[in-house]
Amino acid sequence: MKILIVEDDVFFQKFYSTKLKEKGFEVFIAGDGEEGMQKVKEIKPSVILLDIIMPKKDGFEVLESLGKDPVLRTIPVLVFSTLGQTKEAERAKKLGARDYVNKTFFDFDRLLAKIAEVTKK
Amino acid sequence: MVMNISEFKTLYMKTAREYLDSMEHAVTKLRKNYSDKEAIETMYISSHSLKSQSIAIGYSQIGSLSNLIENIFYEVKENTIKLSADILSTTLEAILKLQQTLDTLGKENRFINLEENLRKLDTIIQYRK
Repeated sequence: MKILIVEDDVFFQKFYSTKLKEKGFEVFIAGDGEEGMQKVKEIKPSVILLDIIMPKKDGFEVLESLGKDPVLRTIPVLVFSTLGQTKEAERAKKLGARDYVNKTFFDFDRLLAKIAEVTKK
Repeated sequence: MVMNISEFKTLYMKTAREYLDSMEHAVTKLRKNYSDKEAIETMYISSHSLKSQSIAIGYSQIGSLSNLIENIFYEVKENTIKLSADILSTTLEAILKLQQTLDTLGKENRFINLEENLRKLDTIIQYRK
């Protein structure tokens, strides 16, 4: 299964890509929202893990762009939230994200469960 | 199951130092021009990222201090805090202390107390309210 991680922080890119690859996922990374949109169109991932605060295009703008495309908006998005970002995570859900995961508290089983939930047909 | 991420400590130290270097450079630019939008954005995003990483790896005081810097520069972006020489000086002091914290952590595996820096930055936010 293809996962696209859209995240500007190298630490979290490395952490999540390493752990997801160990579980057999094919992982792609984009370092900002603009690159994220390019890669979504190229790769058509099964799920997107999307950070909110990023340079160039932030997570909200990515969600808005995805929402305008009839094909891309069907790709499930999980947003990464951090401490104190509950309002932002709720806003992301209103823009089409399926759910959010707290990236600062590494509950990997929970992340895998959410990926399974949003990608089941 | 919560992951043990101590294996990523080396990566954390590298990226944390990079964020702090970016922030130090941004403060230098802001001292010349309080309206430098790129420098303000750098401060906001870098402090946000440093906060997230630090909390994730368990360095809560570093995370808290970064969170205060993030909050200040969010307010600067929103024009609800006006930059001043004092704010930049206090922020730079915090950045330098964080750099020192990383050095001490790397060499001696111990933390420096950041309470004073936390208090000073918190005052900026509280005073604004």
